[in-house]
Formats: sequence, structure tokens, C-alpha cells
Amino acid sequence: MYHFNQGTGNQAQPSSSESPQSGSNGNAFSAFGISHSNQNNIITTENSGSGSAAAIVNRNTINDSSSEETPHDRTALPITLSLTGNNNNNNNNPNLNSVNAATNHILNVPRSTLGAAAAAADLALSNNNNTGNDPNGNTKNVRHYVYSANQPNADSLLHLDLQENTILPPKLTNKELRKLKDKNGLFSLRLTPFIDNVSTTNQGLYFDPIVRTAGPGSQLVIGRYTERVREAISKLPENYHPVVFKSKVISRTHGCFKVDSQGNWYIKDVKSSSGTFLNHQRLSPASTLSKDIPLHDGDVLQLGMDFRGGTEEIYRCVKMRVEINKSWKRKANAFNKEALNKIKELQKLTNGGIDEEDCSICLSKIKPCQAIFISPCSHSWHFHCVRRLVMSSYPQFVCPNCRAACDLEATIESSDSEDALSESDDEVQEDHQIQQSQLKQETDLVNKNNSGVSEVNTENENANHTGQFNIFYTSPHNNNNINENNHTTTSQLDPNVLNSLGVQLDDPKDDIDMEH
Amino acid sequence: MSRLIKEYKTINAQDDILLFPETADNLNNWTAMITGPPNTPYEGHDFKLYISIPDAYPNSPPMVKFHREAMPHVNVNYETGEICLDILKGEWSPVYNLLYTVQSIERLLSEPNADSPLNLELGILMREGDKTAYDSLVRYYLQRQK
Amino acid sequence: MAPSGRRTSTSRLIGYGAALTIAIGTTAWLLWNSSKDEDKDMRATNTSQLYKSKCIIVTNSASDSPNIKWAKILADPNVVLIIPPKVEFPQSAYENHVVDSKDIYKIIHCNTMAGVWACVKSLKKDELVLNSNDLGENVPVDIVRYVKHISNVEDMTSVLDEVE
Repeated sequence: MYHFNQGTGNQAQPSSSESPQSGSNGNAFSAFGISHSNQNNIITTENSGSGSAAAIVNRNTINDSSSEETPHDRTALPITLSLTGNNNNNNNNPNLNSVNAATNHILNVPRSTLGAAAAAADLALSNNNNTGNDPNGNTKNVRHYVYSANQPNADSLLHLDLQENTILPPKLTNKELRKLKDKNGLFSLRLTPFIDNVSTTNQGLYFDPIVRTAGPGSQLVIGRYTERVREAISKLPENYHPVVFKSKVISRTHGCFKVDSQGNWYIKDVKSSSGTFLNHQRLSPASTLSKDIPLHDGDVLQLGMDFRGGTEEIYRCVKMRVEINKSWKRKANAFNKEALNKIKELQKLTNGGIDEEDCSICLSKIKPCQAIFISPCSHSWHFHCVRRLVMSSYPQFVCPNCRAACDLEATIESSDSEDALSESDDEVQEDHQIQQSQLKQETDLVNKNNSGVSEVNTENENANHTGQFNIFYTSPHNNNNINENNHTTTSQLDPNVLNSLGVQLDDPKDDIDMEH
Repeated sequence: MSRLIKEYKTINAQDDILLFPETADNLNNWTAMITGPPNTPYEGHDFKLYISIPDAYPNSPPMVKFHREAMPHVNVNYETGEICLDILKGEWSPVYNLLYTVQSIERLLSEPNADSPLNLELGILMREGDKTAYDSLVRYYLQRQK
Repeated sequence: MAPSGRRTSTSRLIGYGAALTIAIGTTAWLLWNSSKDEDKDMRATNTSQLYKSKCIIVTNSASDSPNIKWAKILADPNVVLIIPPKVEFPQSAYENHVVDSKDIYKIIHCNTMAGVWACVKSLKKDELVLNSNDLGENVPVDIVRYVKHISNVEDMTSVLDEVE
């Protein structure tokens, strides 16, 4: 069904980025490769039709400011991936400001805006032409582009093909936009396997959660994981990879995600054979290009349909839930920080002054917006760190810090004070009341799941307790958190302590974005 | 992975113990040098430890061993260098780190455990209470290598 | 196959002869090599001593004897001395007993007999030299698994003198 380009000028440059729906219905797609371009050479790969793929990374440096922090960012954006037929020689000449070079090949960007890099860009373009390949309208070469944060003309690069009745969200202010972006200024997308309990037969392929980041104007290809892909992406950091799955049900180029300058994500089916389903609605008939459909946080996306009943893993469709722009990671705000401080102070008091702010397992600080597990012996760790320990010997738990053993299944509410371990009757009574109200509040919050943090503030009489347990709600969407909460036990709080702290919450209306 | 990096930074900041990774890029294999504690027959000798970090670290313990045929100790297999220490097996906790592990092994040198001997004869000597023989035999092995 | 006829029988004979010569030559060479090794061995450890490493349990009869040249014995890197309880060694009384400080580590003192046997088992030397009458007890039967040869002699001087 798929065959490679037979020398019809499918070059590896980033030059052929005419969007796939520009009407070219040439050959079928090709596999992935990476093209390389730099200041003076655009290396073209002439497709010899032999099908041997090469993988070269297109590295153009981005403005320095955004490429510092993590090892991930050592790879300079933008990056493009496409099928190549041959090997190329690489020259690694980083290109200042060559973001523009990348754009040039795509559109006729007015050169006047380029400044110093104009010459380089010109060269790039001319080299491009020298190879004599005309990328326009010949192939379905869906390329995977990841642009940097400062990509100009991002929206025009995308060639969005929207349905007539699509209403886009209103344009966001800069401040709001910044909230959506991560610290490198990129938008993000997270895909987690959607466990469909309704249909027991169609389980869907299980995969580790996929997180991708990309600047505006980027186009992330969705497809099948092949050897070529593996070679192509081997040098890239994971969050710039295309979205690939090991399933034969998924076409090699199945669809693509696009993101515009407002942080809106779109999904498009690029002539897949087995279809793409957004919230159970098929985007387009088989082997037909679909329009760009806007994606929303929490959407369920299914790629392909099970083949042969999905008995083998490689014949399973992929079902996933989409999370957009870091909705799974809330940033710290005053409310969360306040809550964390309360926890710390409580711990200090119960532990006799030992300030534990580090998770002793990963050695990082315990910060707001992290799921925290507090043991009965008042030691706390990130839930992510301690989960394995908890699960392996559940319901017994031996504290890694102090080796105190406890039973996590022990009922929190003791019916009467008689069997209290070491507490006076009064204390137990009060604890009991506190725990009751906590449980009530937990269920209350569950009911108000998506209504946001500000709601909590209205329950003033219970303000004492919210400081403690709101920590557990890191991602309001995820119902699974609720289950986890049932298993965590809170430290035995001395109600006097709470009172002495005078726990009051700040008004969360003053949301301060702590990361800026 | 970042946990290993954090440990690396902490360890570098301390000078008193010699513990370093194979290369700054490969934090999965470390080497440590420990000195024989005073008042033991190991005093005055240095020992090399080979540490290898599994993927599941810190949830699973690092694999530590001495150089082969270098450490005569009740809880060390002389021929292979394998160490029998509780925290390296069942008693491992993710809050332990490499530094603590190496220090525990140093402590093991001064406090051998007769209950789980990997060196049978030394274990017998210890159980018999023949400290002179134990010390002399250990010194013999250590001196012989030099 | 070889052609038949008279010529073949001659060539066959020649072939056999050659093969035989080679075989003899090889055997002779191998024997010569091994005898060279043996010579080396013997030169190193004396004709009667085919074992390189020795573990000597020094009992009173040996330690009381002034004639054994301990210093020389201990100079051998493959020798180790085990001193059972209640034996004094080295004895400063005898000049032959003055041992170089760098060889002191080869003298292992034990407080119990069980310790003595444990040491013997641990050391796994080729030969064990002792005087069991002096020791007052028999050699445990399992010692044979740990050493190649046991020389249980009344008079150690005979065995030890040859270590020169």
C-alpha cells in the first residue's frame, strides 16, 4: 500500500513544506528521515529510490536565550524530520538566527526582516534551488517540524485548514500565553493511554505517557515506529520526537498535530488507512486528508481500529487522552505555597524541629503542586518516589527514614477512643472529628472537581483543615488521585497545633505565577 | 538519573571520602577507596570498591564488591569480592545513598558479622573467638598481596 | 588415491618413514620440554620436595630446636607458619630464630586448635608439615581436601632442612 518515492524529487530539505493539503495527491508517504541544513550548505538527499534511509538532524540554532537550561535543550530548534533516501554529509555550522533560514524555504518571508542572517538564508534557499528539486505539490511528504519559541509567522506556516463552523478561542493576552508555555517558551502536549473500561475487547495499546513540546507553527507527525524513525530520532531529545507507536494498525504517516501561536492544538488525519477518531468521531474516510480539527484538553483520541480483534499488541489501535499545554502541571501560586508551608511547619512541630523539605528518595525539594505521601511517622516524600515502596509491600509500610512499620489499611476512624494507641481520650475525639470533617471535605471537593481552587475558600469554618489536604490534589482532572488519597494516611495532627498556627488561607484570586 | 547527579554533587563537595564515578558522563559505575579502620588488622591498608548502579536505583540497592582476592573478611567472598551486607540486600531503603553505603562497608570492616559468613574459615575463627588467629590470618593475606 | 604398483609401495614407505620420524621428533621434544620443567622445579624446591607452597605447624619440638634456620625458611614467599596455642615462637633464644621483620606476617598465631585447622583450611597450601604427636591430637580427616600432601613427621629438621 505504501511505496517510496521513486526519485520524484523528494528531497530532504526543509524546503518542501507545503502543507499536505495543498492538493498534491501524489505518491504515498515515505518513511522518516532527518534532513540537515546549516549556514552554507543545504544538504539534499536525492532519493535514489533504494529506500535506504538516512537520518541527519537539521540543526539550526535558535536565539540563545531560550536554549539553555536542561539537557533536552542542547538540541537547537527548529528541527525537521522527513523521509530521506540517501545518506548525506553533514556540516555542523550553527547558524545564528537561522530560524529565518528555516522559514525561508517555506514561504516568501520578506527578506527585509531578516537582518544579518539574510545572506545565510539566501544561501540556504539558493542551495535549495540548486538541487533542482521542486517540493511543491508532489508528494504527501508530511514533515515533522518543531519550531522554537520565537518562530515568526507561525500561523501562516501551518496552513490551517479549518472547518467552516470552527470557532477558535479568543486571542490570549501575552500573560495568559506565557502561562501556557513552558520555561523554554514552547507549548506542550501530553498523551496518556486511555483505559477504556467500557469495551473489554478493545483495550488499546499501552504506552508510557508521551510528552512533546513544540513552538508555535510546529507540526508533529503521528505515525508508526519503524527502523527509520528510530534512526531519525535517536539523536533528538524525547520531547521533540514525532509521535510514533509500535502498531501495524497505524499508518506510517497517520496524522499530525499542529499548534499555532495562540497555543491552540489541532489534529489532522493525513490519509491514514485505518482512520483517526476524536472523541469517537472519525475525522475523515480512509486514505483521505481531513481538515484541522481543534483539540481540547481531555479529548480522547484513537488512532486506527483493532485488527483481528486486537489479540496481538501490534494489531491494537491506540487510544489516548490528550492533555494540552501543561494542564497536567499546575504552576505554583500563592495558595499552594501557603499550603506547603503549613505542612512544613506542622512537620517541624511534630518532628521536634527537624526541617524536612527534601524528599529523601529523590533528594529534590518538596514543592507545591506535587503529590505527597505522608506516613504516620510524619515523614513525607513525593508520591512518585515512594509509590514503588508502598505498592510492593502494601498494606504494610516500613518507613525508609525511620523504619517504623505501619499498616496502611488500618482504619483511620477508630470507632471509640478505647483502642487508641497512645493518646488521651480527648485528643482522639478531636482527631476523630477532624478526620471526619476531612473526609467530608474530600468528598466535597471531589464533587467540585473542575471548579477550581477558589471554591475552597468559601468554606471558612473548615479552613483549618484544607491547608493540609489540598496538597493531594495536583491534577484536578485525574480522578485516580482520589483513590490514592484513600490510601494515604495523614500524620496524627494535634489540633492544638493547627489552632496555634492560626491557619488561614490567602485569597487565591491573587494568582501569582511564581515561575515568572 | 537526576538523583545520581545530586549525589555526585554532594559527594564532590565532601573531601573526606574517596568516591567517584568512572567518568563524569557515566554515573552508573563508581569506584571508592576505603581505608582500613584503626584497631583492626585492616589498618594501614586501602581497599578499592567497585560500585555499579542498577536502573531501578534508588529503589534497588547498588551492587558493590571488592576487588577479587583483595579482601579477607568474614562477610566478603575472598575470590570474587562479593559482599554480604544487609543494606545491600533486603534492608536497602531508597533513602540510603552511595556515601552511606560506602561508610557502612567501612563499618563492616571493623564489625564483621559472624552470622552470615562468606569466608567460611574466617567465620569459624570468629565464632571460635580466636581473635589472634583472625587478625594474623587477615594480616597475612593483606601483606601477601603487597 | 595413490597410484598402484611398485612406485607406490616405495613412496608409501617413504611416507610412513617420514611420519614416524616426525612423531618421534615431537615426542622427544615434548619429553625434553617437560624434563626441563621438572629440572626447574626440582632445582627450585629440592628433589624430594615436589610441592611449592608449605604450611608448617610449628610445635614445641620444632620451636625448641636451635638448628632449623627459620629465617631462611621464612624468606620463601610460599611458606607460612602456624603457631598453635601454648607454643612460643619465634624464640629469641636462638639466633636462627631471628626473623626479618618483613616476613613476620607469615607467622600466624592461634589461640585455639580449631583456629589452627581453620587457618590451614583457609590457606590451602600444597603441603602441610606438622608433628601430630607434638600437637597432641590427630589431624582432622577433612584437611586432606585442603592440602595436597601432609608430612606428618617426628623430626621437622629433616623436612625443613631441605628448604634451602
